Amino acid sequence: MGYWNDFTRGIWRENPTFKMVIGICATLAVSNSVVNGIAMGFATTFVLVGSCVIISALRNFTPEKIRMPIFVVCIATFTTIVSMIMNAYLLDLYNVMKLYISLIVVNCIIMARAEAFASKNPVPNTFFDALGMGVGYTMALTIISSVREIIGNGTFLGMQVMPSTYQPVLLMVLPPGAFLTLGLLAGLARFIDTKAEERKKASKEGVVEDAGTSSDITG
Amino acid sequence: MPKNGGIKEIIVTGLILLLIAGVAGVSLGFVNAVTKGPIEEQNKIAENDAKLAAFPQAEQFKPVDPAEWQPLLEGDEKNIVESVDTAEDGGNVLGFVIKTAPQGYGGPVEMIVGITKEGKLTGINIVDHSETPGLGAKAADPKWQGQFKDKPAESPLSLVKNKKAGSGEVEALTGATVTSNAVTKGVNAAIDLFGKLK
Repeated sequence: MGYWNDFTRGIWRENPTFKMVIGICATLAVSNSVVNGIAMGFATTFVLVGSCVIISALRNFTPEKIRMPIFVVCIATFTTIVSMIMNAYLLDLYNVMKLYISLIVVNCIIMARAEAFASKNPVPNTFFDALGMGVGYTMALTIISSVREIIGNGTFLGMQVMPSTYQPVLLMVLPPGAFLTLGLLAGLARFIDTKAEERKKASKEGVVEDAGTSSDITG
Repeated sequence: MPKNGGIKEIIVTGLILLLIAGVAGVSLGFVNAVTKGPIEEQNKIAENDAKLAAFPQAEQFKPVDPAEWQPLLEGDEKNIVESVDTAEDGGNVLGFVIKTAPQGYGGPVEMIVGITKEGKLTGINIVDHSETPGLGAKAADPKWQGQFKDKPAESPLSLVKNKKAGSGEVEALTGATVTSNAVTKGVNAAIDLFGKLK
């Protein structure tokens, strides 16, 4: 298993948001605008990579029975350090993200990767796994928040993208919109996977699929 | 780690946890010591910038002793007004910046209101809020905040909907009456206090 495989795991195959459906609390809360979504994605990636690498480095000294408290100490320490450094040297970014940084501590993506991967694998593999998961999470947040912001507010990253006559569907930036978008997108991801699987099976059996049916994947 | 090590295992795991928590604590303490100064400085700069946005003509701001303004507050205003500063320009008092935090739709709307001693609003600056994105959050847009500039600070401003605002009036945000009301309330608390201070 190469590093590339570790990296791509989080992006599609085990995407934390669409496939594993973990870390949903934060996802629902911050995806109301694209800026928030991207910022939360980056902050989580940073903490995820940092704490997973430390947990992986400590894995041989960590007794099985107290691994959870040790994970929590590592994650909480890392989050606090990130928040203090950002407050001191990157104030503009901190002002946008301060609400979400404390949310990262309880984001179960980090706990899940620490438990499922970092505590069992060497540091380099863990680094790429955490990075891939972070990128996958950031992508998922960007997609969800784009849908919500464009439909719910008519803007993308604050710029007007819909015609001025467009009446924004407020529901989409309010909490119910988060559930609707996440549910539909997770369904779409699964649908694409099922279709891909069917195609694979079909090509194995030597059945040539009609070109017409492949186009409804995007529908 | 043996499965059942008895008392020895408890002590060893305890010590490992102690060690890791100790390292974490020390590194947190170290980062805190390094970042404490810059954070304080950043907060000061941010506060000054926020006041400057509400009162652009001033050069420095000096806090007014709470004993001077707190007794002047009445009823609800006690919970709204947070601080009062004088806005100065090389020793001359130009006016006041008053920080208020009225209750909005999603929480307090923190803002700074600048008033010249001649009784004119120099502007408002919404510093922090948790209003609904796309609705109440539009209050923080410079465009909406801008209408408070140059309004007279003699009597409370009133909110109007769906028509052009007159001299003592401000236009409400579409679909965000609660937020518009909150901001107007915060400005009016500042205007009221200013009337008693001058």
